[in-house]
Parts: sequence; structure tokens; C-alpha cells
Amino acid sequence: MDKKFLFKLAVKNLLAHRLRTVLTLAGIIIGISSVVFLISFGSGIQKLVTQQITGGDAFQLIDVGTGNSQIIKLNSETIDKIAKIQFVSSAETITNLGAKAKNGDNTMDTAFFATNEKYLDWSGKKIRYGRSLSSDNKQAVVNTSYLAFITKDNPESTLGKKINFDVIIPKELAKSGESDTKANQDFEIVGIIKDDSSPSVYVNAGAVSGWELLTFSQAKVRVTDRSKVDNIRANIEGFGLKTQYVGDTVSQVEQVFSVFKIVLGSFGFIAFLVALLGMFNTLTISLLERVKEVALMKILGMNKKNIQSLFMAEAVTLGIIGGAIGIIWGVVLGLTANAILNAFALRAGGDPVSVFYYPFSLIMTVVLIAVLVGFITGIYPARRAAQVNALDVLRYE
Amino acid sequence: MPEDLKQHETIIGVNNVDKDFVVGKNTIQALKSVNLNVKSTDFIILFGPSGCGKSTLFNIILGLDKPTKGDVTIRGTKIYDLDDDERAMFRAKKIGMIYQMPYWIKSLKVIENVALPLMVEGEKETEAIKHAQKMLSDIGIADLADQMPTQLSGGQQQKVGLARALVSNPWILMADEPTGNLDSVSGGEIMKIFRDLNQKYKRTILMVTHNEEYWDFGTRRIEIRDGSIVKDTNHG
Repeated sequence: MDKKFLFKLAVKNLLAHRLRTVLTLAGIIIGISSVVFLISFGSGIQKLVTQQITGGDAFQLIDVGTGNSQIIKLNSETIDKIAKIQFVSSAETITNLGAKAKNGDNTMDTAFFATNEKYLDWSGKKIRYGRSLSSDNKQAVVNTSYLAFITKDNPESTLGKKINFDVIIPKELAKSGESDTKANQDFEIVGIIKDDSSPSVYVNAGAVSGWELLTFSQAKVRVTDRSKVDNIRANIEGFGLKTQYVGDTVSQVEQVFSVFKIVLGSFGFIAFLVALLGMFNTLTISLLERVKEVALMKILGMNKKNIQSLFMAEAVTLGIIGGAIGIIWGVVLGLTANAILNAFALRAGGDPVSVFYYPFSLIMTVVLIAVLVGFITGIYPARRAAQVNALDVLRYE
Repeated sequence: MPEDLKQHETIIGVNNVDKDFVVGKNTIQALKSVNLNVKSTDFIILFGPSGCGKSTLFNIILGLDKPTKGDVTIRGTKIYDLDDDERAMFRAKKIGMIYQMPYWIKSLKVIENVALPLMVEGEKETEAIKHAQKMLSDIGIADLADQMPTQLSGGQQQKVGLARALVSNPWILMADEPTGNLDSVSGGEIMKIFRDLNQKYKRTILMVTHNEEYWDFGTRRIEIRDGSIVKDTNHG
């Protein structure tokens, strides 16, 4: 039998009961869109959190420290050794010091870091105004929390401003073994990081190189090949150092989120299940109503396979149309919710974020499920239709 | 009508057919050793009281109801040796059927309903529609093509039903009380078309009717009582 006509007949049958078809579709659309909405929300949050942890290229970075060891030193010598390990492209350091920031008669304790542009970048510290550190030892990047100490004005206006510190060297770092203060160190603000946690100042490592510090606080090691991370870590730990890798954290976070997504997905799936039963009901009733038509088709010579195909076509058409609109609707809902959220965030002075994320695999899975569900819910009514005994139907007419 | 069909050839052979229905613990014999040879030129009028077994005989010839005993041959083919789907296809090609109340695919237009048997046989939609259009013209109801069948009068519906029964150019036309729901004018029109089909177009016709007015249209009259043929007379 002409398959095109069979499909046309299926569509005509659906159109013949417009209200019922629309209601059934509405059920599927609500079900599918809830699944899409909730899972894309889970994926979005997951992506957001993972990004927060990892920054840009965090998977290529290993954090190196000394742990609590008093003996192991993270000095230029060790850094040189680390940098020579195969697949390591470079190792950058940071030294944590304390400082007394001065502004006229006011003073404030602040964290004081000697590092470089690469380290800042790898740490995910984004320069909001101005630029990052350079090789100029008189320049500093500060955070917004520090800025609150020197001005109430627009942060941008502080670029180029001179700032002054008494830098304190703890005894663990001092060659002499005694703590020391380097008074009245002048710097010029060249860049500002948005960070309101605690006051921090970043200067170029060269600015403190004359102070003969014994050890760096931490290092970040960049690798050229992610798959070699385990080897490189083992190598570095061979020097007695401790390493941390963001991949460890991320895989934990991802585990948490996979559970979170399953929970969200299950809520959506309940809605979907209800829709499914509705669809099954519609198809079964539609068969009962048309049992005479089925008998007629049989008498006219239509075989079981074609009758089955007709009912399957109706079920799958419902599934595909409901699925397609459901996905679009789910995405539109997500985008709308996101836009509303961002409107509030912007008003409160936050950054716009994407809370909804639609991985291609999610969309494809949902499409597949919609078709499959159409197929599965169609099987029973279609089989039953094929089994209709034409004679019984017409005899008891 | 196929050219090779000889004038007095037996087209339908009902051989020693029994049909029992089991209802609860009782077995009801609907047909008892029925023998019937239908010639290609026959226009048979079948009658008998209700419950006599004529509908059962009809359904057995149509291939819808397997006899308990005996067999049915249509132009040499033992139809109950075919499987369900083969028999359905055989019926689609060789037998046209008309009921007292025509059944429709309600979501399809008249023309599509008429074209349906052709599509079941495997014709493409466009071809089938073309043939159906011609069939409607031949019966004189071309103007009904785009209407929905359920909106037509009883007489019109019966003519569309006739068009559908004839569209696949079957050997045999079977009609179960086709005039039962029609006024005498419409009924008369249908009967005249039947007579033309039998005499001019050489179709074999089997028709059940209780309306004695129409008995003269047939060439052969068969009376059934209690599951047996009690009278079989030729008038042609």
C-alpha cells in the first residue's frame, strides 16, 4: 500500500479529532518541556559551578605547594627542576606576604602577593579595569576590596594612583630567620580585579627578588598534555612537594551534579509519564471508536501490517510533533527564566550568567525518547487494531 | 471482466460446507452441507428468514469466515488455503462488497474512500484517485467526489459504496440488502445499475434482499432455510 497515503490518512485521522489531538499533544509538550527545562537547568548550574572552579584552562594546571613541611622548600632550584619535566610548558610562582597599607594617617592590613601575569591569569583572576602585571617592578594590581580602603569613587579613577606599603616578611621566609619589615614600598595601580572578599595586592615577583626570600608559597605548573597529568604529578611529588589538580575536584562536583540532574530529570519524567498515559489512552480510545473503520479496511483487503502501520504512524506523529514543540517550548522557557534572572542580577549589580545549558546530547536524547515513546505507546493499540475481527464487528452492528 | 472467462463457467464453488457456531455449551449449525455453483453469468437473489444462514454463507464466500467443513473455490482457487493476508488481497482484487449501511473511513473524502481499495492493492495515490474519478463519473456521481461520505443521503452513499465496490474491477459483486435503507426511487436506481452490470458488463452478482419487488432483476433465485438451500430456480 502507498505509504505516503497511509501517512496522510494517519494525519487526517488526527485532524478529525482536533481537540483531542491538541489536548494529547499539550500533555506531551508539557512532559517533554519539563524534562528539557529541568535537566537543562541542572546542566546549566553544573556548567556554571565547574567553570567557577576551573576558570579557563584549569585542566592543564597543577597546583604545587610544600604542604606543612618545614624542610622542603619551593625555591628557584625546585621550580627549574619542575619546569624541566617532560610535557611541562612552564611553572609560575606566587609568594604570600603580609603588608600594612597606608593612606595618609590610616593603615590597613592586606595580603600582599609577589607573582606575575601568567599566574594571575591561570588563577582565574580577571582584570576588570586597566591591565595586568608586566615586568615593571613598580606596578601593582589590586582588588576592589582593597580599593574600598583608599577611595569611595569609581574604581576606574584610581588607575595610575600611587600606593604605599610596609611589607612584612615572616621569619619562615627570611634568610636571617628573623621576621623583617620592608617599609615604604611604593607602587602604581595598573589594574583592578573585581573581588570583594579580602583586600589583596599583587606585584611582580621581581619587586621582591632582592629580599632573598627562602621559598615561594605556591606554584602553578602548566602541562602541554592533559593525559600526562598523573605522571607529572608523581614526578613533582617525588621532590617531596604536594600537588593538587582541579580535575579531582571537578570529578567530585560532576558526581554530585549527575545525581542532581537525575533528581530534576525524575520530576520532569513524572510529568512525562502522565502525558504518556494520556497518549496511550487517546490512541486506545481512537481505536475503539474506529473499530468499524478497521473492519472495513480489512474487508477491503488491507493486510495486518498496513493497519498496524496506520496506527503506529498516528502514535509516532503525535510523539514527534509533541516532542519537537516540547523541546522548543522547554528551551524558550529556560531562556525566558534566564533573561528574568539576569535582569534581577544586573539590577543588583551582578554579572549576567547562563543558568540553562542545552548540551546537544540532551536535545538528541529527548528527540529519541519522544520518537521511542510514540512508538512504544503505539504498539498495543496498533496490534489490537490488526487483530480486529472484521466479521464480529459487522455482525454485531 | 477478464476476456478468458467463459460464459457459463463456474466462478464460485461452495462444496459441502458446514458451519457451526459454539455459543456457551451449545453448538448451533448455521449451515448444513451447502453446495452451490455460481456461474459467471448469474445474478443471484438470495433470500430467507432472518437467522437462516444467508449472511454466514455470504461471509464464507467473502473469505471472512472459515467453514467448519468443506471448502470454497473462486475460479479454481481454494480461498481457505490462503493465509489471512493473501485472502485479504484476493478479496480486494476479485470481490466487490456492498452493505446495507455503507461503512466509511470518516476522515476521508468520497473520492479517497472510493480510491482506497486500489491503494490497498498497491496503486499510487495519484493513479488511484484518477481511476476513482472515472468510476464516479461512470455511476453518474462525479459531483460528489470532494464531499465527506457521511454528509450524503442514503441513496448517494449507496452509489458511492457501489463505486468503491467496482473500482478495482472485481469478478464478483456481493451485496447484502443494498436497498434496505433506501426509498423506492433510490432502490430502483441501484437495482437498474446492478442489472446493467450483470447484463452489459458481465459481472457475477450475489445479492441478499427481502424486497420481492426486486426479485425479477435477478437471473436465479435461491431460498435458504435453517442452514440449507431449499429452493434454487433459474429465471434468466
